[in-house]
Amino acid sequence: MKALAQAFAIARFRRLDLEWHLPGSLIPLVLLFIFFLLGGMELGQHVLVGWLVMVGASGGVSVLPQAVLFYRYIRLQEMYVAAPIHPLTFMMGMGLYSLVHSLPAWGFVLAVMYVLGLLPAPTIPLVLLVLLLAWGMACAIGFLIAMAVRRIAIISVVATMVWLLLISLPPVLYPADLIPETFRWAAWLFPTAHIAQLLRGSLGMTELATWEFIMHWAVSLAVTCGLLVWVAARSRWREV
Amino acid sequence: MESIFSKGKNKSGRPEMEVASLEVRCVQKRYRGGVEALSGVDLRVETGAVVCLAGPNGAGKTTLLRICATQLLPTSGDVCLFGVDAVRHPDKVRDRIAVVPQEARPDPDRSAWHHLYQYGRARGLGRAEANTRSEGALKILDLWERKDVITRDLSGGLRQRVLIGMAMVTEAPLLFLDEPTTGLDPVARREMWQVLTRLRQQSTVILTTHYMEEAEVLAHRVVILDEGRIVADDSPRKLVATLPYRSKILLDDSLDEQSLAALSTHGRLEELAGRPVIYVREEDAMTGLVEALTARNHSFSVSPLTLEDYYINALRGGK
Repeated sequence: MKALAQAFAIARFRRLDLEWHLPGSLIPLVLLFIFFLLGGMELGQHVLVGWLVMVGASGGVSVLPQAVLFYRYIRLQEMYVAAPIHPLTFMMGMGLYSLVHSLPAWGFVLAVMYVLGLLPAPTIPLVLLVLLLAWGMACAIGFLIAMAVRRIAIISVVATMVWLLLISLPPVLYPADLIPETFRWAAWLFPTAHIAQLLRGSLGMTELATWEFIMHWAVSLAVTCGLLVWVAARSRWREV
Repeated sequence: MESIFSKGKNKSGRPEMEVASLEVRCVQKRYRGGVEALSGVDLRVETGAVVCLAGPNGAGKTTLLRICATQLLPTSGDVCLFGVDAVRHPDKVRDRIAVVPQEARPDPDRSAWHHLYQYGRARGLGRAEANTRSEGALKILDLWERKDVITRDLSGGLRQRVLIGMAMVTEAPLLFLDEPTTGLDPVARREMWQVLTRLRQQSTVILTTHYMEEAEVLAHRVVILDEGRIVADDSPRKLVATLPYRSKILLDDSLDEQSLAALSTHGRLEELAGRPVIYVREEDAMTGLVEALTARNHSFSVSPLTLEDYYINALRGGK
């Protein structure tokens, strides 16, 4: 509980700028429009699911520029390093700040899905759990990279690359079935693809066998936990 | 105020050995790329002391401070804070230290109050305690009236005070301040000295500075570093007393070379921003020089030697 209170204090340190996430959150609209034109709601619903994952993962990834800013620009992070604050707590604080920014977009997409009948009420807790997993995973990735970035000038390049690898490239905003079968295995190298597939399976958009459910859960949980353990044990909280 | 680290008595009634706030043994730091910032530094700081780390740019002051404050790992050597190995167990000491980093700046969109309160909360203080301590610190810092003003609208000096306030809220018994007055105008700097004077009543303070006047006013001890080594370590008064000169005389810059040559027989002639200065060793020489200058109707001023004179002398190797 103490760590959570500390994380909230870190999250509340900076002012909320909800408009900050707006442009990024609207990116899938274009894809939604194209998919809807090409395949109607059958294809469009996959973009909506991907949109949810994207918002969570983007929120997590945005820990990267925030942490670099805090660390290298306003240089307040040193005050948090030389304090009884665990790096995981600090990362969670940064992530919570981003999560609050993600809430309007999540609320909007979830409402649209609910209205369209794509989100049965009993699945909502599961959907939220999976989304939190996406957020936690991306937070850890963002934080680990941020602690290694030494130059502010490359933040946007690194963040864009991470975004590309976690969201644009893998089957997050589009269904994995669109990838030719020969290359489909490559999709499962990306942890966010498992999370998106879990959501699609849970919402009945894609038929998943039990072993596939187990595999996607196992990979998502293992990657997230592994990254969080990495943050806790090996992140460069104290400089070398 | 009794420090929690002050001397106590053990069961046998004998006084216990006092644990130093900070003890640094043979600390070496070599950065990637081969730059050696520290080459075997030893330092012991007793509880309640104010120690000023001075030295030219690149001397290793900030590196030493950051190693002591558990922000940077040394390449080798030991650092003990309150008797605890801070290199291997930083988590065991971090609740007893606070840092104000060099070049840190407060969040421009948040108020002074917000900085202190949220930092206190982040360090694990309860709401009531964070409130009380923030209020107390802001009053000491003379920021209470402006507690809700966002830091973007505060002057540089007040912004620096916000950072000091964040450290004060922790009530940590050991504070590390990295160049807390750099960039401040003389008035703001003196105001900051008042704050630091208050601070040293409750904590052991280790600060870095380039201003010898500041070190002379604030510190019990001055440690001068050069090229990663300690070249001097004592109280400001004692350091100045080791100089081979008694005082200095600043001369008029209109003096011709012949006159200067004649006057230089009384002491060591130097130049300070184009003005000749003579460092005088003996009282007799001083009297002779003053008489000679008065007789020639030259304008001059006599100044006592300061820590800055010592500093320059130490870094030049006494040349």
